[in-house]
Amino acid sequence: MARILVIDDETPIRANLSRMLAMEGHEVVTAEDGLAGLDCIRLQRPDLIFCDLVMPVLDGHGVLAQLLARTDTAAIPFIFLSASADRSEREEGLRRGATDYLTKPFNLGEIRDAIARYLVSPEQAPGAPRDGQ
Amino acid sequence: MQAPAHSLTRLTDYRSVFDGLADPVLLLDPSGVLIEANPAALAAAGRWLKPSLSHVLSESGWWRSPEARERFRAALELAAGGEPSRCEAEVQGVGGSHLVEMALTPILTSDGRVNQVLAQARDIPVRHRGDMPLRESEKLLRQITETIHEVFWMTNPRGDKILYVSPGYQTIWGRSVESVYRNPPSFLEAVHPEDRSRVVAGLARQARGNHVEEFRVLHPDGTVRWVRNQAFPVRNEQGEVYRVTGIATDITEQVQAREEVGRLNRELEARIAERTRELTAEITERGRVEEVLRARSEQLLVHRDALLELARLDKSDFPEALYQILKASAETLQVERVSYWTLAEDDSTISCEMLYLKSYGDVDHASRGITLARENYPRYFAAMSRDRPIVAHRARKNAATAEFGESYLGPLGITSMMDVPVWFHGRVLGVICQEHVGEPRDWMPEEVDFATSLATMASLSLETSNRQQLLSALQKSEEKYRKVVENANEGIVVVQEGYVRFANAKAVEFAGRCEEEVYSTPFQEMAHPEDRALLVGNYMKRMRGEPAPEEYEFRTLDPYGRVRWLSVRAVKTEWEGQYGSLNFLTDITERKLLRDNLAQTLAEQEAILQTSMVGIVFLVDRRVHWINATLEQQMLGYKKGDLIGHLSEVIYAFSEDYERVGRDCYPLLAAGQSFATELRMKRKDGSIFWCSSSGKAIDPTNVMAGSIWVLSDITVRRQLEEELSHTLAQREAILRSTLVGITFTVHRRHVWVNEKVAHMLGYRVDELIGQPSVIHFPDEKTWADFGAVAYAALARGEAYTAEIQMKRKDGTLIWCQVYSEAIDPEDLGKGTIWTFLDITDQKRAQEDIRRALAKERELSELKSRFVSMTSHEFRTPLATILSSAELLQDYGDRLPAAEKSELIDHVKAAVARTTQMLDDMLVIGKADAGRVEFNPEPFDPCGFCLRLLDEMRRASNGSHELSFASRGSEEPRMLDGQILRHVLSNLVSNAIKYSPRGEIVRLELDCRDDATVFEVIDHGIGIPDEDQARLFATFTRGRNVANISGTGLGLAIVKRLVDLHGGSISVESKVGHGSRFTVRLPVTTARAHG
Repeated sequence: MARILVIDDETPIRANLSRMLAMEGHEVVTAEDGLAGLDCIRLQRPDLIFCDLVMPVLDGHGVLAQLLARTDTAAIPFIFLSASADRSEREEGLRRGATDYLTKPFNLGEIRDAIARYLVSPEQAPGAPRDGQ
Repeated sequence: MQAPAHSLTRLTDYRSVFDGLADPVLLLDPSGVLIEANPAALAAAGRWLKPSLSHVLSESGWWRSPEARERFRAALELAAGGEPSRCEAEVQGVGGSHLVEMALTPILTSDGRVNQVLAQARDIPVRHRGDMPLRESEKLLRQITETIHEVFWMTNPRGDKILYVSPGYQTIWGRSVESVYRNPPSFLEAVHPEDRSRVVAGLARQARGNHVEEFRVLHPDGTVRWVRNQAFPVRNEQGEVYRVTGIATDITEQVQAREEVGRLNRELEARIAERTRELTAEITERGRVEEVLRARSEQLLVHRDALLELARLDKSDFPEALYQILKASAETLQVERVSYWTLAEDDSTISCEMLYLKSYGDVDHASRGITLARENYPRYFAAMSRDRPIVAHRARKNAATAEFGESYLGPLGITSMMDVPVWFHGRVLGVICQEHVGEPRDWMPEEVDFATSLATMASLSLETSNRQQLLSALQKSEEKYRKVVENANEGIVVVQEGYVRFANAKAVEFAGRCEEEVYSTPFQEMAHPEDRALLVGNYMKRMRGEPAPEEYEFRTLDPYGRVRWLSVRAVKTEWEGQYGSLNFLTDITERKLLRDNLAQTLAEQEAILQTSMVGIVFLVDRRVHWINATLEQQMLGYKKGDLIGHLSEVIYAFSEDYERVGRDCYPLLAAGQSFATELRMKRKDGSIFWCSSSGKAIDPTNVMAGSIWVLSDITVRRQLEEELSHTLAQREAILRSTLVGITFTVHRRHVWVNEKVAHMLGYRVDELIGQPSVIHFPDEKTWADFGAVAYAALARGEAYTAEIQMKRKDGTLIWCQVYSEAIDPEDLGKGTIWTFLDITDQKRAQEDIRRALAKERELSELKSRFVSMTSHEFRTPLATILSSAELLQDYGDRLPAAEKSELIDHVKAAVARTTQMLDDMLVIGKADAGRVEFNPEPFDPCGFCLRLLDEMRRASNGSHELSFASRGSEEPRMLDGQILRHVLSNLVSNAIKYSPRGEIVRLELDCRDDATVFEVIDHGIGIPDEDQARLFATFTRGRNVANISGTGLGLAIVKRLVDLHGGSISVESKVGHGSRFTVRLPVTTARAHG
């Protein structure tokens, strides 16, 4: 049982992901742009974040940078959900500190795998999986 | 010199002896002024000798050459120092030139000073008068050798002693003939060091047989001449080589021509530049000289002419000279009053000697004797004693002249003065005063110089007139005649009553006895026994008044048995009141010996001339008088003697040449110059060859005496020259016709251009020459900018190259590659050479390639934009579709029906979105391919707009306020509804997309008579200026769209559709304020397209 934040400007994507995560038993929080996403992070303290790359107001890189800049949020797993399949975009995202980078269109299986792999259980040391990237 | 015991008492007797001397005798003062010349000298020298004050012998025209003059001067210096001396020199004479030996004897006063110098001349080589044929032949040969330019020489077999060298040595070796006689090895020292060892090795071979050697000779001034030396041994009767003779010819020109041709063929390319450089040098040099000539003031020429005129004056007459000097000053300087004032011995006064008035044109005699005292004019007198002119531009203000003031300047109207002191032997003797009347004048430095020169003239004149007086006193003294006789070179004897009554020193010497004995011995006993009868017989006849030979030869015999040949001339004379025989004796012993040798020497000389490498002919009245074997036999192919006596016309190839030479040469020959020409000669067999010919009169004063001509075959040289000129012509032709344009430019003005560059620029060659290069530049600024860069590089010594546009005469522009080098980077004024290559075609090709590349780049950029757009814009709806499908699949059984339906709606919307994108791309593709259909039909735009806005309002869920306004006609118009829908929906949805929520978006319609105008206006983010131009291109979007998604296809489609409708679209926009898109569609009555 975890709190998962979905940040994406595309309404159908947000709706579909929320629905799927709820069905899996998670608590879901959504935001339609980066700035709103940061508010959610600060107020809701999600356990894991799925975030679109290209968004109005503040893009995914902006959100990640803010996240990593604060010690209390830097350890939250952060997974990009991007419409760009470009290899260089993926590498750039990981280099900047994202936990993983998933490409649209995505399978629900990939979402489940990511949650299973990166969701930090209370007894695990924070940040350990990220070092493995 | 001690006076003889029986000295003569009457000076007039000595005078008659002096006059009777057969050899020329001259009396000089130690400085060389000719005081007296005996009749023999005057007769021999004619107009060349003139006893006069101004006749300084060493400066007279009597000497044939500067060398002769110098030798005399050296001898005179010795004699003037008290030491007897001798010299040999060539002098002018009535019958032509003579080589004389001159003996100079100092004549001392009682206190041992040299008072006069006695100069006695005698012709050499010594000849006997009766020996005419030999003499003539010797003269001829000598003249030949001296006339022609080759060097004839004769040495002993080992080559270390020089027996004879002709004067040509001086020309070819650049050193005097004397120097090589004195120091035979010096001829080798002049040989170029690189050739010397070869020449030395050759010397040994000369005695074995004919030997030819070519080598270089270095002149003292650094010039180098090529010499061909041909030597051949001369054998005596026993067949032994006892002499080597030879001829050296200057072949520099042939060698140079030979080298030149070879060099040219190798270095044609390099010479193009060099030739141009020569051209420049010539042009700049000519320019400079003209400038100098222009700069030379006329005034200076006038001054110079006046001074030259005065210099010719006989200055011994001082008053006359003074008159001329004052007149020259007045006329040349344009001064009214010019006067000469004499300074008194005690410097207390000056008095007017002569005043010349310009307006009167003569001397004003009334002024003579006016005296001014120092006590009245102290400053003027002080100024005068300084050795510089008193220059008073304003006479009343000048410190030196102001004191003349009212009493002198005022009444005479004198305003400016220039007074120049006349110095003589270290003191001021007088002053020349230039007094100007009228407007004051400023004296020019040249005018002061001129006046100073006049003062110098006056002092010279004073000096000569003083000397004249001294000398005329001297001439009156008869004492000198006694000294002349005593010192004469000839023996002089007076015989009376069978005894010698007077014998000078020379005669005593001839007698071989002491003076006492000469006077006490009957005169005939001093002669050789065999000649005594002759001597006595002639003496008796003469004394009796019978005819007796005036001139004959006899021998003396002295007590020691020595025989001496003497020539005697005897006259009956009155001597100390009685008749006697006056005899002049000359020692001809040596002469006799020499005469025997002469014949042999002449034969040798003739042999040399006969075998000379050049042809030599002596013509008298254009007939062959003497011709050498080389010319007659080798060059012309005749047999020996065939041509003697013939007119030289027979050897000319063309009679016009014969006439031309006859006409042109005589003026030159008569002037003592040589005449040289090149012409064709004809051999006996009729064949023709090129020849250089130069002639010289043996005696310019008598051209009829004949002329010497030297001929050499120049066929080879001619050929070389022709080859050379051919090569030069080729080079010119290459420069002219080369494919590269070439100009030679000085101060950015074309001095020379070739045809190619003129053709390139559309001008004629003569239209470009002299023009500044700006005429073929696009404009003056380009020209100036280009010049600044190019000439800076050239001044650094770099070659400059660039690609620039040039303007042809017809105004069209061409691209040129230019290349330039300066002749002299230190001085760009010497000019620059430019080459031009027309590269317009290459440039055009480059431009095409560049454009094609840009297009290619654009396409590739477009492609990559398309790929990235599709990637992003398609993946987003696909993600919706896939996730919706999986939700239905994975959780379908647990989802409520409403949610399932919503998921399906998501899928449908995403599919519609991708379809729309595909449609858009299809429209673009079709529009680009011209396959979109245009179907105008009667249409109501107003109703259409209202319906469209209604749809848009619903689609946007009321996020923005959409308003509409309409003007103009409401009649239906011919429009394609489908196209219009596409265009307007695109523009309105863009306006919504890029405006903040809640803003107004307006659509306005204006149905004018000529067009239907739609305007879509928003207050959104706007479009940056720099993006507006490319706004309607495919896949381009404003840079300020941030993360607002879009394909960049919408406006591209709009533009294509508006084009299809024959309309236009424009945009006005400002970032942060909004945009206004205006679409104008023309009113059409018929269907435009099918």
